[in-house]
Amino acid sequence: MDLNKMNNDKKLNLCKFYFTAGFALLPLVWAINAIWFFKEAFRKPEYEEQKQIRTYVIYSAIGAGIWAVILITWIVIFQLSREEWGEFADRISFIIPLGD
Amino acid sequence: MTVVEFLGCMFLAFGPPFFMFILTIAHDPVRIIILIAAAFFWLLSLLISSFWWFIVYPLRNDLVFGVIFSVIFQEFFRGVIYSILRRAQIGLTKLTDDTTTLIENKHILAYVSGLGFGIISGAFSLINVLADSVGPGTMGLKSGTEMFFISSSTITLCFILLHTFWGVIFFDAMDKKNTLVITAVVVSHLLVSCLTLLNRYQVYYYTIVPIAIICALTGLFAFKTAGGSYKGFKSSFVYR
Amino acid sequence: MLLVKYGLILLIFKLFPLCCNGDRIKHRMYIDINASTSCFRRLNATHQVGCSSKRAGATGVAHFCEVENDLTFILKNGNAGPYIPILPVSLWSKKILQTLEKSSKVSGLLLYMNNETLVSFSHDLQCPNENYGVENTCSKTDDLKWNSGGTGILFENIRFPVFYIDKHDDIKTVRDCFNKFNNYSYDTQRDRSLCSVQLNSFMFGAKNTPTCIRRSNIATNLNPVRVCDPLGDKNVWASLFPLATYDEKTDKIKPILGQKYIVVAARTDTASFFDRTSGADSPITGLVTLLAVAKLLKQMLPKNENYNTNVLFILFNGETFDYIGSQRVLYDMQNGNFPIETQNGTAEIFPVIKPSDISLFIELSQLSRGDGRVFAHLYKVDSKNTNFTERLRTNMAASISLQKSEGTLPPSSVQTFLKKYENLSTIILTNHLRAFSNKFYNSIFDNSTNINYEYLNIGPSSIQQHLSDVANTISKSIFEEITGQTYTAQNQKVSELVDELLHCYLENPNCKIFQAVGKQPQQQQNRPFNLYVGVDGNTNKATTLLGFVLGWFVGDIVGESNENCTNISKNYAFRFYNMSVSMNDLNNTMCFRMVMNFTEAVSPAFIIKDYDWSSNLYSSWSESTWGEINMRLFLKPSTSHESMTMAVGCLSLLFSSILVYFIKSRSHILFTPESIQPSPVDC
Repeated sequence: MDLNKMNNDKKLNLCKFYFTAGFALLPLVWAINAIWFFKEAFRKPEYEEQKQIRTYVIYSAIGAGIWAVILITWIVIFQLSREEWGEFADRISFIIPLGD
Repeated sequence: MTVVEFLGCMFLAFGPPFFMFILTIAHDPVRIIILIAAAFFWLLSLLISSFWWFIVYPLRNDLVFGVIFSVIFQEFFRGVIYSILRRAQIGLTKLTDDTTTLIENKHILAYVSGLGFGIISGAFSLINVLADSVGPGTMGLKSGTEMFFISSSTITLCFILLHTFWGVIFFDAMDKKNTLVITAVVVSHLLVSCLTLLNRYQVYYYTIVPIAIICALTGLFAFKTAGGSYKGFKSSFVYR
Repeated sequence: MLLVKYGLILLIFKLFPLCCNGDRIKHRMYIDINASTSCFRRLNATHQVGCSSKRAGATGVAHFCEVENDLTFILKNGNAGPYIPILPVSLWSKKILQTLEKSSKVSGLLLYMNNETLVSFSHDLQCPNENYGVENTCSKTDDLKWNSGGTGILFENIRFPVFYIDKHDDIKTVRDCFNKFNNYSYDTQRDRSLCSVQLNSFMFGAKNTPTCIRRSNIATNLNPVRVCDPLGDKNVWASLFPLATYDEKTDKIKPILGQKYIVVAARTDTASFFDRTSGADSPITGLVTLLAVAKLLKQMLPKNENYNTNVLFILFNGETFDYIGSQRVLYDMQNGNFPIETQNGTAEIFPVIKPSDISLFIELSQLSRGDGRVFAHLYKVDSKNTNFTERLRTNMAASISLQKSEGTLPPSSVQTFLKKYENLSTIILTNHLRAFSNKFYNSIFDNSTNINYEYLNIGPSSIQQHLSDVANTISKSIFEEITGQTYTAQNQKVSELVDELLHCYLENPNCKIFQAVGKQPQQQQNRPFNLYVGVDGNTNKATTLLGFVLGWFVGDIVGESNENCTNISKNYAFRFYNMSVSMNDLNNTMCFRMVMNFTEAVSPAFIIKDYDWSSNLYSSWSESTWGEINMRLFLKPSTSHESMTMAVGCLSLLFSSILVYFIKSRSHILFTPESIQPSPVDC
């Protein structure tokens, strides 16, 4: 889909759809939304729907950011204390590294 | 760890073709298609050569035999892709956004298909060697010298460039029906390929130096063929 | 796919003949040393011991050492590290290990065989199996250290891989490579290509047995890999007299109940730091003596004439690793599952043998000749073992002096039983009073030289004669114990049998006795059997053969040899096999009936549901699995050569990028296009 060939009304709908879809625990959709519509929201000359698009883009970015922080924190904690947790860590692992 | 050696050899052999691809080919889908098509035809020549090598059982261990026929097959397929491209040229120009350049400069098609030949032949001759260079060891334990990898990379680079130049020269000669130049291309290809036969004696300098010289000369000839001149070369520096 | 790949590889060398034949370049860069063995990882309830390399293997510059100074030299002056020192195996000691562990210049270790005469070489602990035996029977502080020369390296967790080579060709290859590339002007080593070694022995299991067993069984795991296996094999038992009566008319088997048993036991396994064992003094001397006793007793007491005592021969496996075999036998006995598993502890085919049914427990430990003395260790002195010791003393051959030692208890399978049943009457026969006279306990040097064994050389003071004398003494004493009469007939001559048995175990497994029982190794195996216990689920050929030899000795001939012989085994109280009549008459076979069987020698810790690993009740040893163990030599490029290659590559990259960019941006000036008329476009 080429955003340049789309009218403003459809752009808004699409952006809104991506924003709502992200609530289904899909942080990557938020991230895509934020990056994809960034130009539309901040770089393009003003038009009627831009304000709303801007809101969705900002909230998507914040949502994706929070997700990223949570995931990175968890990954760091898990990797650092996997051995220490023993059985619990093994139970929640899909792949247990060999020889470690 | 000789990952360093691996990277060094890879940069040496594939660095120049990589930039040629990025800066002159990648922006135009039609050029990419032609490049891949040329590579495909080179692969066909490889297939035929290997069948031939397989069939002629008694000469399997004679490298000279294989080399000569392989060169002939490669040049044959260069001719094939020439005729196909010339026929398809009009259609191709319809597809591309960059119509003027492709039509105005017929050498571009030649250059792209030559590079396609070069990249695929370079890949096939070096990738297995490169894979073994990752380490942890290097050549020279039982036999050979540690210059093996870097020499192989240099020769491969020369071959990639030579194929590009030959592409330009060959296509132009075909356009002008200049049999002498076509023969020159085939002969120089044969000559360079046979020079690599010396590698078994591990006299890498005696192969690399002549190949590099031939490569440079062919390059100059291709430059001239493509419409280059010393005057233009000079003025390109002063232009602003 | 593979064919295509290799076809293309061949092609490439045809097109660009950089090499002289269609081989991978790799084959010319590496020399594989195939005959190497490695130290591997074992785990117990709390620790991991042994060695492992990193996943990609350990690499280091080879440094061949003849003496210890060579090693200290390179650790101090080496500048091209990391190194893999190549040491003679005689130098392998705790002190060297500590030096290597401390040095940051060491990434692995390669040991090679040398024939130096050693004073002592044992990697087991000074108090073997201390935590699973009877308390206070070994003390590290005073002189009661049974294995006084033990370094304990077998139970150390070593941070680098350790390999061992013993073929002369391999040692020569490594030494030549070192001399050609490394062994001169050490100051400039940094600037040269150096002969290096890659050791690859990555172990899958880690931490301890509970962890690795759990990881092997987790179902949510995406790639379920077995990361460790319990150590284990089979125990062998046989009885002198049948344990059951068989009524042919009614086809009924009736166990003989209410008997007492004299247990004659020995261990069958040893270990060493590498995957290669010798085990001459321990366990082979004890094992062979037990077999000779079985043979002699069968001749002395061919039939049970209403004696209420039977003799039970038990060979325990896995004893090196915290008494695996004896723990399991005792556990089975306590649960009514010995000699065979029962449903609810009631006998159907065999009587259920309980620890309380054992009237006397005789263990045959290390018995090499030494100074000609045999010691009887009586831990708790009672009338039974005192009497039996007296019988032994009376029956002992003149060349051997028997000494009684009260209150001492060397490392032995008996300890497992005494720990639970302290009133059991026990005797351990061995060749040492305090510390082992065997200075090579559980090592590769506990070989035929260590016990002065020479095949077919049965002199009056030879090991063969000694063991057969001991066997005669024991069997006569047991005869008297059972019958209450004095044995008056001449000594049976079993020294030839002992000679052949030692030959089977120490030199050539294709020997006459193993052929006689009809179960000799299928392949021509030149190396003697490895007597390491191995992992559960994988019965060693040596154990199976041992069972058949024991069964052959205590078996009865019941008829002509034919294919019906083994079919009689519908009678489960016996086993039937076609075997040679004697080792000197291999082609003359008969049908043998024997009371012999195997029981699991896997620690109860692995079969008890929800076993508490921290309780330390049972042996918890397991062995890590691995993908591959291999070793190869290669040439490590010098740093300067590497930098040069990299510099050339980067220059090519940089220069070409500038040139291509330049030509591209100036192309309209550089190349003046000849205008060609486009062909008329058809619409």
